[in-house]
Amino acid sequence: MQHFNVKVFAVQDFDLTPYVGVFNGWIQKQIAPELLIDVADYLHVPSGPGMLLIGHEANYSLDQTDGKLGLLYNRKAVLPGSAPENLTQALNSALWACEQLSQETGVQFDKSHYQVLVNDRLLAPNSEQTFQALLPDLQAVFAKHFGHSHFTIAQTSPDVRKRFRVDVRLNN
Amino acid sequence: MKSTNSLWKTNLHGQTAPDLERELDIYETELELRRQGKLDEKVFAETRLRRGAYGQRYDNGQRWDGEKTQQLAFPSELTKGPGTAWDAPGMVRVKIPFGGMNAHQLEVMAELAEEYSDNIAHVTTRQDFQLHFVHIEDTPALMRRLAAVGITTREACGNSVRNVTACPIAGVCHTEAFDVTPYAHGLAMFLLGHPDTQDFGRKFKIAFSGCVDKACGLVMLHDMGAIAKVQVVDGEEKRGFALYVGGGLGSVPHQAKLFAEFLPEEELLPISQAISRVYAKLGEKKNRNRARIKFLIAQLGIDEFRRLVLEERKILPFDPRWSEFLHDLHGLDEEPLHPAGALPAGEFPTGFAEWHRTNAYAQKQAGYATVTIKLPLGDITPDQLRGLADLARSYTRETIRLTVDQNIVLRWVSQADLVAFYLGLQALQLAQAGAGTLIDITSCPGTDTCKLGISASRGLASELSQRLAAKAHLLDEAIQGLHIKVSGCFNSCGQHHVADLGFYGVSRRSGNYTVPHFQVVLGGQWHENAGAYGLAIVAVPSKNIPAVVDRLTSAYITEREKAESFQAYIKRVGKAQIKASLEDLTKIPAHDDNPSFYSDWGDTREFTLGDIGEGECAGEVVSRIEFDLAFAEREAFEAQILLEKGDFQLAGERAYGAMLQSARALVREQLYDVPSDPEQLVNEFRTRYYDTQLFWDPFAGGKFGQYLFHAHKQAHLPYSPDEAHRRIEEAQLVVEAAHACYQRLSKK
Repeated sequence: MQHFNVKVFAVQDFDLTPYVGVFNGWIQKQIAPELLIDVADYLHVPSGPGMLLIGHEANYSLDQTDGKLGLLYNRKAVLPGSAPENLTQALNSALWACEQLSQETGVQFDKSHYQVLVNDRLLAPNSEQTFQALLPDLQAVFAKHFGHSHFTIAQTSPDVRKRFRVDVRLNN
Repeated sequence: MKSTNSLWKTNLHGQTAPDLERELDIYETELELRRQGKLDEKVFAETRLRRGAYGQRYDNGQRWDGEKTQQLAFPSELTKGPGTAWDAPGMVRVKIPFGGMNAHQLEVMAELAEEYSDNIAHVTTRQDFQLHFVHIEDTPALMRRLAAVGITTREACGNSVRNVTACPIAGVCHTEAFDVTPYAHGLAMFLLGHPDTQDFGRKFKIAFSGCVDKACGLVMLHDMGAIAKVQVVDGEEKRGFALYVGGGLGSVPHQAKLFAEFLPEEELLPISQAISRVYAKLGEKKNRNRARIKFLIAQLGIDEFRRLVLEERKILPFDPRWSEFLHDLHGLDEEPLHPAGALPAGEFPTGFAEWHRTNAYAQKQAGYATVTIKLPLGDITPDQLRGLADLARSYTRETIRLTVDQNIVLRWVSQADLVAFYLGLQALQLAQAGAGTLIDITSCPGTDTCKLGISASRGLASELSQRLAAKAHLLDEAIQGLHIKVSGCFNSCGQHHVADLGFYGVSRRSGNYTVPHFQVVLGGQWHENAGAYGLAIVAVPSKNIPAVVDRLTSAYITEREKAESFQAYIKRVGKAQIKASLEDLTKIPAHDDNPSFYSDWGDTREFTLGDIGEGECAGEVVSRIEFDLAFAEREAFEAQILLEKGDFQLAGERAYGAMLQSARALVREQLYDVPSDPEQLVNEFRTRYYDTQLFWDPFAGGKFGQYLFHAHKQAHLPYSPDEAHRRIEEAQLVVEAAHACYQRLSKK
């Protein structure tokens, strides 16, 4: 499985305007493992992709889809690993970016709530079948990440037109 | 980049029109040839441009990072055009003839924006969609998915006939002579891939309008524009067009000239074809700055141009398609989904009244409205596209059109449904009022993604939109109908010449710094199909442009005489006085006092001109013969692939086709109307190139020509594996010999 996206939600909303400068700084220093190319500002679009840092292998963004702000890692380039390995790579990259932003600007992310999607409808149509097929990998990766299995994984929408996407939440 | 790219071909097989599928197979082969270094980068660049795959800013592998120009270390050293990195993200332009779409097509746009782009679909000022940050290797799959729902990107860029645009309210408009939709569609389909449109020196843009005095079609700023007209001939009402040619914006705007006061409908296609042929034959090819048809017409004069076109028309070989489309003029007619109704009485939701005033147009069909969905800077998200598709299905028969104002309209909404429709839009965050007003600002991509951009047109447009929208309810009625349009440079993609308040990006030096500026353009006219072009009066630092807007609109409100239009006000007061009134705003504060003036809107980097690249708007100037020979090479390559797959018959036929294509390329150099019949073609080749020894190799003599003659003689016979193999080897030699012949003749 390829093209995993992982979103880590922000603890609270914050003004994204200054992040054009923050992301430009990342390009200047090329601090990510991926080649960073450009910044795309979509703050004028409500519930849109927000502020994007365009990379060659992956994009990082402060994403506002569904009106929920979070750091989104979007893996574009193909990886050689298995599904759990590739999901782990996306999760770790998203967490690395959150940590980086926290250090630079003080913003906080909720490490108990994630969204995972597969950005390829041929690989992963939004169906129960895909969910059942990927569930073991999702469970394994997040069990390792949280250190336990007290979390819930659920599909976010039954709409077959949408990409396959799940919410991963720590249980109360 | 996508792991599933190669699967889409199989997955969509049978869902795509065979000609579109073949076209995409060809493109995929060309991409593969370029990847293997077997296709020249210049030829590939024009090839991809003609498929709508366009370059984007920084694709030369360099980007100013605020302190230094950084080299972007793309993994591949391959190029997709001169100075254009293979791995650099690019733009794909999706042609939508007359802006017409259905719900499923919107949904597919949503999918593509998510999977290949940056989660945004962008509506352009010419009723296209654009997707940005797309990898070149994803483009064939992306195009296949479009083709499966009847959309092509073919000739969306490059030196070709671009998207044919039309008034978005054609068919529902009160003032139109008749619905221009089927004519726009008919002409678009006729000219798409037409042999007579393949050898232009620059792009060619066509627009249709239903009436003279409205702005919707913007006919006067197009290479060719048609305004619907009805004339009584022999007591019968006859449809036709006032036809204009040679209009265009760009750095040197030209108003279109009247070609025909009344062109009967049956002459629309043949005259367009004749115009294409005259342009292809006589238009400038080497100097791209003077290669648009407007320069040819200016040089010849409209009378001589008309004479040449009419002469060409007389010798055009008859084509039944000229009139076929006229038998199906109602094929694109639209029907409502719900019965006509009236707006219900009672209390309306908050914001509805204002939205209804600015965004709902009462159609000529009583009880129906065309609703404008105002998009911020032409941008829409995939979720919004899907939501809009749902609304289009619920309230209309999917009668959707894109507009040149970078918005979307839904036609045939029953007035009785408007409140529910508005609430549906609200849920999608698409219910912003103010369509067609001062806050509905048009902008080209500018420095965000365009290689030619000087200043941040989108950044400025966004800033102005936010400021004006915040006080929209306070804006004087006199200025609400004004248009603001912004271009990132003088090339006018934002159509600044026809705005009430137009701006285009420039720069000025201040000490050791370069400062982003915009020229203020006044006097333009949006009405009467863009009836007058404005002129730049003064350059103002970008950060002072909002103050310019405030000052000019305030002055107009207070100083205008009764019912005086903005254009009339500007004319009466005079540009000298207006320029003087802006004088203080032209001053640049010292860097230490206000460093914000030294970076552009929405960009924290210190401003530079260093990121401007080589534009691809004009496409690569690749001669027709180079293109034709590349076509022959690709056919020879495809023959090899077919041989590998064991399809010997098709492999042999394709190899023979490559030989014919080589001959066609050379013959066309001497004979414009090269015959399509193989027998005639081979005879022409024999007379012109073989018997004259022009095709003869200095060492091998006439051998390669004989390969062609032999293959032609045997063409009706089946191919054995050996014969197919041999034919491919011969075809490759014929293609090479044609290249060599062309080079020898070029040197002479």
